Amino acid sequence: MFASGPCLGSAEVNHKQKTITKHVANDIVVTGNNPNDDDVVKLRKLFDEAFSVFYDLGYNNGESIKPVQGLLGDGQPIDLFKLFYVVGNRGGFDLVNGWWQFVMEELRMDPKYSGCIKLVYFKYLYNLEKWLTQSYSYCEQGSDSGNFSVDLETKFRSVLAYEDGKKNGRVASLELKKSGEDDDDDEDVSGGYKSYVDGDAYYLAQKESRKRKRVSLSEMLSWMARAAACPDAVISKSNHTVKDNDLKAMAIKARDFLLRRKPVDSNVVQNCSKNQQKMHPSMYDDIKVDQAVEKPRCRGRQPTSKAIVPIPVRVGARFQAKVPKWTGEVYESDSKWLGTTIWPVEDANSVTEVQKNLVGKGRPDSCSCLVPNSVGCVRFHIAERRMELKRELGPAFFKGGFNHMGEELSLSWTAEEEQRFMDMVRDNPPSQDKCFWDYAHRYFPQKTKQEMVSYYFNVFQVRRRSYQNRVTPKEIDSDDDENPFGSFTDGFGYDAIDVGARDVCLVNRVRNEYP
Amino acid sequence: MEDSTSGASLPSVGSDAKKRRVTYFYEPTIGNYYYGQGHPMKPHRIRMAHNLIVHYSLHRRMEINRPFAAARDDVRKFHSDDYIDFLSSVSPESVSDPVNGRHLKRFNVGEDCPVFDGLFGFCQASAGGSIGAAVKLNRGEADIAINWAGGLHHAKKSEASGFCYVNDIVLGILELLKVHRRVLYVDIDVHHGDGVEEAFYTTDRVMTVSFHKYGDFFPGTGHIKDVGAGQGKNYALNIPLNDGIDDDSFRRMFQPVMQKVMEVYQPDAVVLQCGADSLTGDRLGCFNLSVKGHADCLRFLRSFNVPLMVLGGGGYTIRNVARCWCYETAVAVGVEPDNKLPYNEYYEYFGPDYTLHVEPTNIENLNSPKDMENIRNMLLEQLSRLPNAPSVPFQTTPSVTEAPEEDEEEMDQRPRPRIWNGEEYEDSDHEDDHKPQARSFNTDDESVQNGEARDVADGMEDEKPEVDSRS
Repeated sequence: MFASGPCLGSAEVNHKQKTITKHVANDIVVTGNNPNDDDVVKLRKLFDEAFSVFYDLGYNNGESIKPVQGLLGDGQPIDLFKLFYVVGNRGGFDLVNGWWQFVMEELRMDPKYSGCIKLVYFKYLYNLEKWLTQSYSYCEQGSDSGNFSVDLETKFRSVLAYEDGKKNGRVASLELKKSGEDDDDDEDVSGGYKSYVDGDAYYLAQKESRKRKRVSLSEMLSWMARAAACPDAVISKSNHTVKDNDLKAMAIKARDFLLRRKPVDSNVVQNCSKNQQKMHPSMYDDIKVDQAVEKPRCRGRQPTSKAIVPIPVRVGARFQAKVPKWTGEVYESDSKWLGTTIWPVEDANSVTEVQKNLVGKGRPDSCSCLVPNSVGCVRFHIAERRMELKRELGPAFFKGGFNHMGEELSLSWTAEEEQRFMDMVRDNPPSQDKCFWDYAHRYFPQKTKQEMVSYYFNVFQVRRRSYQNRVTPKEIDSDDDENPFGSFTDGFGYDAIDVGARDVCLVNRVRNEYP
Repeated sequence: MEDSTSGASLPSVGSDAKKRRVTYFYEPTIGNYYYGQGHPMKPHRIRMAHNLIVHYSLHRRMEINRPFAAARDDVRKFHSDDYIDFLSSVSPESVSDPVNGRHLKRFNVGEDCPVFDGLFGFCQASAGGSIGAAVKLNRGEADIAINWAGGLHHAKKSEASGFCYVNDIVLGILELLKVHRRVLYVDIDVHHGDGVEEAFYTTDRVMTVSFHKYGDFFPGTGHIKDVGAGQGKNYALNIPLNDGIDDDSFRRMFQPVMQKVMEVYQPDAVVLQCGADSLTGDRLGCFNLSVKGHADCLRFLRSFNVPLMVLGGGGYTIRNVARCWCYETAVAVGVEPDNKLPYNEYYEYFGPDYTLHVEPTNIENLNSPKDMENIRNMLLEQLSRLPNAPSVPFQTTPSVTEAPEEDEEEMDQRPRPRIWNGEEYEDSDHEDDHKPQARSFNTDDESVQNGEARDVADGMEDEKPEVDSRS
């Protein structure tokens, strides 16, 4: 039997699986040797699901194109699940090989096709069988109950639960892509509000469990495959069932939906459940398995033809603010809320009168610097402007926090410290799953986190941007600090472009003492 | 310059270029709060905006206050006790404590909303600024009050969400409701303003209007058919939009809808959430608005001359956030700033062009005129179901242009909201500030219905010719 096979080990499986499997195994309903219809339906769903996951993860020798439906020469479809079940029940491909006629008999198919069936099994199902056996036996040896259906279900569930946790989200999105979609970017699947159809489907997707979605999608895909192969037989067949209609409607909607897709910023990855949705989930791909398992994603959602019920806004004392009835009576507000006035300063005499027309004024059109717009030129003008401002604002300069702004902050750092900061960032790139802030206290035991954050935004990023503006002006980025620094050298390549404005800063330092 | 005529923007000067008394709240330490590496929410953007604002000398036209930090009890006016106890006690060190594990999940803290150093201090500053802004308006000391550290519209009563922990907007509106009968909340963040909508879903004293991207997008709420419940039925308005909306389309949706809202609802005060993630090129957003198109929303609401609170919100391409909020501050004080940025400490962030305005990109606008029209019609229909000015008889006759005479009888019933009167008002009122209609603040509430109707009409006149000429 599958589960008692040799423990081959798999890099994909780890101890987490054990817990999950044990948990799941307890839920299994023990049935007789001949599974009843419900069990078959359940197993079929699990099979479809496992099949999707297996292909999505590229375990079939890296092949990620999932066969939608095997067909024999005469257009007769092969039920992959049934085939898998029959072969598995007989001990798997290796044991069955050589006795395919029995399989054909059980499948009620013409023995002349046994070669085809064998090929189909080998191509599409053999690796799945191995994967299932390996993954499962690795984590749960000897729990074989002797009942193939029960064991198979256990295996499916445990392996799925594990993969689900590990790759949550990815599966669903890959699945949708495969259905005729060739963009390789992470995309927003949305068609937007368009207006209420999609929105409604969206609501529905939120209500549907992830499992159900996947099953119905794969059903739809096989229906489409059948329709493509034999349109007459499938679409115009006289004994239309409700389900056929549903599948057809779903397929049509899916087509419309996919046609409307468009690429957007890869950061706009959103998942859908109201409470579990992340505004920026890409940051947290490695969240704990136990959390991830239960989080549905909307990436794989598909429009359906069912009636739609929007998520109601939550109503109740736990959600709404207490709003008193308007009585016409006015309540006084505490004046503490006015805070401290920073500007205008009380002692108006200390403020130099600045021309009124300064309000809203930008920088002058040109300057007389040797190399206009060089790092040095810009630094000089900033320092100049800063001094003007200090004169104008007086105490408000300090009260308003201007003394904690700008590259001048670097003056409280030694050159050696600045170099160390740069090393810290460079040596702990996000590409290696590192976050330099985790190591910051080791590099700078004397500095507080706040000082370092301040340096990061006021000095480090300013210099990084300064470099980008001059060297890679087409690729500027002030926001994604996950990006590696790319081409900067020590000092951000300042050696090449700096004209030396250090003196200005030093002069300014004297005036920059805290009040 | 090109400023006054380019794009879909409204002219910056005109009949509405009147001065307003503007108060601006800024916490000097705000920029050093840090959500963590890779997190798109960066409070530093507020410092960048502030820096630009002052370098443009806009402070000369307004008052700058450092907010009073909201205490736990203040925040509990909306939020639940256990949630705030947790928020105010948790720290990055205690986060791994198993005792906290359950709370983290329950309060949705940990992923989008991480626990960072000084988390509660950040919430206190943000909430303190918005409550302060409300108090400033309540006392009639300002016409416009700005808090760029506010606008955290996703926070729920007992739950953090979408980078927001404490809902400063709800707290600010609750403060406004002490003095103002009806408050209008308008949200132009690319995300739905779900926290505020939920908080006021069942009341007609607050009307919420949110323009947002809808469909497979955070937070997933904001369906056009979510209109409010109970007393609040039809007092929640949702405008679902699609990717790539540009200045022109946005304006053609925003202005008629808001005009109708102002007309029908007649708010005593307006709160505008200016989330800057609806700008072009936002790291998380998908709209295509220019800074001017974004600021036109403020300009339009400002023209109604109703006490106005202006708050920040989202915005994840920080250079553009700073640009936007600086420009909007300029709009508030009635100045059209140069496009060439003045030299400032964060000058390099704005390279390589170093300009104030950003050009929209050529991404496709997925909002077809037909869809937009359908939505607009649905919204206008919803608005037509509203009784005019709830709980107050609607008066269609425009009133006199001077401040109306007080009715003594009513004066007895309704004490003056302003604690003190006169001097400051007169002092700070610039000569040329005299509005053709002396808008009677909250000093005389009984006149509001008249005043409002008049002001709305006035606002419409200001903007209408422009709208017509372009559509």
